[in-house]
Amino acid sequence: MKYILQMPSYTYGQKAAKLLRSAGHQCELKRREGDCGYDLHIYGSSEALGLLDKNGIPYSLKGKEGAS
Amino acid sequence: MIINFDNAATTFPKPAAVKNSVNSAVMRLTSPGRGGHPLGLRTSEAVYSARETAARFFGAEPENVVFALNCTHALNMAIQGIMNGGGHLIISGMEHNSSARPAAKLAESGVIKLSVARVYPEAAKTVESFRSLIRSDTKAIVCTIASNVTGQILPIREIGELCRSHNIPLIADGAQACGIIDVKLSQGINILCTAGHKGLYGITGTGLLISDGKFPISPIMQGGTGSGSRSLAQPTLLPEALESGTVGAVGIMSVKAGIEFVESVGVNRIFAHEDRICRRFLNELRNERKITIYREPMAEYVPIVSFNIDGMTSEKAAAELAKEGFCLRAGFHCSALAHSQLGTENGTVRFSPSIFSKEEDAVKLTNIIKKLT
Repeated sequence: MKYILQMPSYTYGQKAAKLLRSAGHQCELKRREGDCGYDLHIYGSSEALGLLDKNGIPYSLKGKEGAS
Repeated sequence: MIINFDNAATTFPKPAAVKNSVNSAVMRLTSPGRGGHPLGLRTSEAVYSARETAARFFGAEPENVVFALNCTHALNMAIQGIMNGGGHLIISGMEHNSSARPAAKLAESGVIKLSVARVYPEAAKTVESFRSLIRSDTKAIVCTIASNVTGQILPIREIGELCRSHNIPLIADGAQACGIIDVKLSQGINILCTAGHKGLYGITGTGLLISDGKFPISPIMQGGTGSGSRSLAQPTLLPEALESGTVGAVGIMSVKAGIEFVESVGVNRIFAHEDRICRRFLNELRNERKITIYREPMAEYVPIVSFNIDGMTSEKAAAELAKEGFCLRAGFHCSALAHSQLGTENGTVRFSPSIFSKEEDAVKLTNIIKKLT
C-alpha cells in the first residue's frame, strides 16, 4: 500500500520522514504538484500513520494506492 | 594587535568549524523549502539539520525553532506576536532595548499596559518584584536571563514557575546566556529568543526564536514561505508562520556549526574559562580605589564585568584602551533601563571575554587601566 500525505510544510515533512525511517518504514518526501509544498509518500502499512498521529505530526491523507 | 573583549556584542574570533561551514554553505546552498530540485532539497535538508541541532541544544522540537535575523528580531516577533491583542506586560528593569523598545512602543500606542519589575541582587526579591506586578490582565513576562550590562543572572526558573502558575508565557532573552550557561526550555521558558553571533559563535545576522509551542505567536510579517502558495493566508504552523521570505541559509549553517562547537567544548568549560578570566580581571583591579566595579556580592554573574574609572567617561576610557588594541564596549549598551537602575549617568565600560580569550591579555588590559587611573 502506498499512502500519500500532504504535509503542512517541508519541516513537518522532514520530521515525519525521519521518524518513519527510524521505525523502519519506507518513505519519500516529494515536491507536491499543483501547489507549493511537499507530500510524503509512504510505502507500507497504516501503522506509519499511527506513528505520526502518536507523535502529533500534522498531515492530510491525500490518497491511497494499491492493495495492502 | 587587536584583542577582543567585546564578545558580549559579537564573539570574535570564530571557531574554524564556523568559518568552514560558511564557506561550504556559500558554495553549496540556495533556498530552503522552496523547490524540488537537488539544490533546493539539499538546502532544505541542511536547514532542517540546523533546526535539529538547535532543538537538541535547547530542549525543543525542531519545528519550533525559528530562524531570525538577530535576537532583536526574535524578541520583536515574540513580544508583538504575543501582545498584539492587548493586555498587561511585565518586563524586567534589566532589559535590553531589544525588548524594552517594542514593549514601550506597544504601550505608547495604547495597545498594552506596561510594568517594569525592578531587579535586585537577591533572586528572591527580584521574583517578588515580578509577583507583585502580576494582574488579572497580565498576558506575558519578558525577562533577560543575564543582563548585557552587568552580566547579572536573573532567577529565570523561579520567574518561569511564576508564569506557569498564572498560565502566561515567559519570553526569555538569552543573548548573554546561551552558550555560556545551560539554557533549556524546561527551565520554565516558553519562548526563548537569542542571538546566533554571540555565545553560539555563529556569524552576524543570525538569531533564534525557540518556542515550546504552548502559546501561539501571531506573525509580525507575512510573505512567501514555500508552502500553500495559492492561498493568501499566512501559514499558522511554526516555523514557516514566522519565517516569511528566504531565510539566511549561510548564517543558519554557521549557527549550527557554532552550537556544535559549544557542545564539543561544553558549556560548563566555556563558563569556567571565561569566569576565570573575569575573576583575574577583578582581582587585578580590586585595590584600585579609582575604579568602580558594578557587581554585588549577593548576585550571580555570567562572564561580563562593567566598570568605570573615576573622573573619566566610559567612552573616553574605552577610546584609550582601543589605542592599545583592546576592544571594549563603552556607553549605555542599548540598555536604558539597566543603566537607569544602576544610576550610571555616563554609562560603563564592559569587559566580556570568550572561549578564545587569554588570561594574560586580561592582565595586560588591567595594567593599562591602572595607568589611566
